[in-house]
Amino acid sequence: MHTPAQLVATSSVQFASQARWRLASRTLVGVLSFALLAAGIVYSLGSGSVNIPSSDVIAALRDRASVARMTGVIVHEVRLPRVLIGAVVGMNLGVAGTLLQGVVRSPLADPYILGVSAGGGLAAAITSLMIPDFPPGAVPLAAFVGALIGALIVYAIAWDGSGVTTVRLALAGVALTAMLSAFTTTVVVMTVEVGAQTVFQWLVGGLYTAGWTQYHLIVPYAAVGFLLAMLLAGRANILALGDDVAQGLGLRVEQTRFLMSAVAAILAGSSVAVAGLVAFVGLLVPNIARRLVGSDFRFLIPTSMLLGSALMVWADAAARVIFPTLLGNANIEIPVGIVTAVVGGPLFLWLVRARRTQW
Amino acid sequence: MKNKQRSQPILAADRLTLEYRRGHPVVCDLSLAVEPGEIVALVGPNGSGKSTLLRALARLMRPQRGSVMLNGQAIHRLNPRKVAQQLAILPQNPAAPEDLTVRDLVARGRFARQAWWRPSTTRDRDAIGWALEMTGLVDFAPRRLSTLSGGERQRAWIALALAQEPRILLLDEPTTFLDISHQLEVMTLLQTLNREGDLSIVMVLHDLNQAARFSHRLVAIHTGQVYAAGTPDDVLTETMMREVFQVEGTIGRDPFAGTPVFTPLQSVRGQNGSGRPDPAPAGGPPVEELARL
Repeated sequence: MHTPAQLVATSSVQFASQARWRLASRTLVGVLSFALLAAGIVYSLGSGSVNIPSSDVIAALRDRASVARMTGVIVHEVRLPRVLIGAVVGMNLGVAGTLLQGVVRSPLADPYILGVSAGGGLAAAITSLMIPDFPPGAVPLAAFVGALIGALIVYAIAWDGSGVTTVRLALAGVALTAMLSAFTTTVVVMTVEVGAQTVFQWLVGGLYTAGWTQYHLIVPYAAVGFLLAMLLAGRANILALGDDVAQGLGLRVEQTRFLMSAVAAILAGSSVAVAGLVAFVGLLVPNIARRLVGSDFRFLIPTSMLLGSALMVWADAAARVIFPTLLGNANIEIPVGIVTAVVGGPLFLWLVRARRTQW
Repeated sequence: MKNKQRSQPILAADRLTLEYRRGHPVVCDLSLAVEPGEIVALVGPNGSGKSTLLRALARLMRPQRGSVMLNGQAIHRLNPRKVAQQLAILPQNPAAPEDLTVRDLVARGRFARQAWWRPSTTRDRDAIGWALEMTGLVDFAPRRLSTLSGGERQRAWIALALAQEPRILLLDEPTTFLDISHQLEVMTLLQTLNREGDLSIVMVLHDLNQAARFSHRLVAIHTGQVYAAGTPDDVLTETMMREVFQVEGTIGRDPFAGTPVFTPLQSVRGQNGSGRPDPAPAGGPPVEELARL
């Protein structure tokens, strides 16, 4: 038998060691995700029609003057903006998916399914293609508004007077996505003359046109979106306990849902504006992150950010270099959205099968 | 402050009408007051509106007419966080992410008292420790909720509510999914919290004998209105059981607590007195009254 004092002492030791272990494992996940991202960036910067050794890539990043002029141009002006945009798009989609899964309390939500991406895509297509004088810098803003409207429409359809059910939400999202994507296709096909590749980018997601201009366009939205997402993490944790408990704890439930959806729309909308409709990243990344670091949004959001970036950078490397090489024609390029679907789809099916998809 | 009386109700419903669909009130023109330090049990058959009433008292539901007053202030006009510092609600069958530990869960009870720029203070830690101690969960703090038994999990949810440091606690059927020993454990805990922590408690209970044993006052709800309110002896009567629950039976005594105990004989729902099984115990139902139903 233990005396009560002994019990308290053992348990606090146990608690401290358990808390340390959780912190250590979360830190490890963070470090590994970051390493995966860094490796992806270095690999991607060195690969393409001209291969550059990793040491030169790193040297070029540290000090451009230390490498050959041509190497500097390829790394800094040709490849770096595209790689960084890939990282930012992946981060946005990962964090947006995490927030939306928190909003509907289901692991099967993501910006693509909930009509957020489709709404953003249509708004971006209309403003950038059909309105000649529309300032390019404002396209992500329009995409954000479109994404928010898309989310609100789906939410309104799924609303049954007292709440939303996941099934209704998913069905409404799929239907709206199909409809809005059809409009987007029409807009793109009617207006674009530049070539099939650009059209394709809109429809399945791609980073062909990625340059520094687009990078500077998306970064402010990503930064603001990520900051707001982190500020909402505490509220998201309360919402995860269910509407009644959350309300009892003093949370404004509907306001929190709206804010989380709006931040997801900022992130997903700006991604769509530069990279088109990239599937599966927003669905897959939060599920992997949840398995690795647990359900606490304070850890889930940064982990989704790193994993999303890493996944997207590697997917773009695969689209640009790995798949074409495997297919025997190094000059073609596959849209990154195809890669994420080809890799992400089976991975997600496996996740669903591997263990009961819990919330 | 000007109309502060000696004993202002801590929570009161003032002519409350609640409906889910327009024109179909579940609770109609109902008034009720809970005094500080009281344990009040809401009893009534399924569909009587008792859970709906509890939801409205916890401002989880907006009344169509009337108002809920917390310490004399209309609850729906108060800041949600301010309400949560006074009043905690434990809904029926709550669910949390499976990887959450007991301590994680209980810590979230501090939400209403924390600001996002200043996440955790000594007072927060003290309140969490106190909540764990009161519920006997200190040793369970690092355990995941999914590894706990039903009774332990229910205590963890009560600890979450206690971490809010409320003056009044509302519970919706806190014992329904528990076996008898865990039921007793939860009810004894609530009694201790009431006595030692000076916590007012309002709960919906299905077990009438449990309600009589552990409450100061019973409120019998029938078709959305208060049928009777008062001490267990006043409310738990054969007549009330017949008219509200449509059950014939007899009232005895709890040999330990001395509170009334209802022993059912048979349901008279939709019956006109025929098909009654014998033997009827002494002091059984008057058959002529049965026939009137």
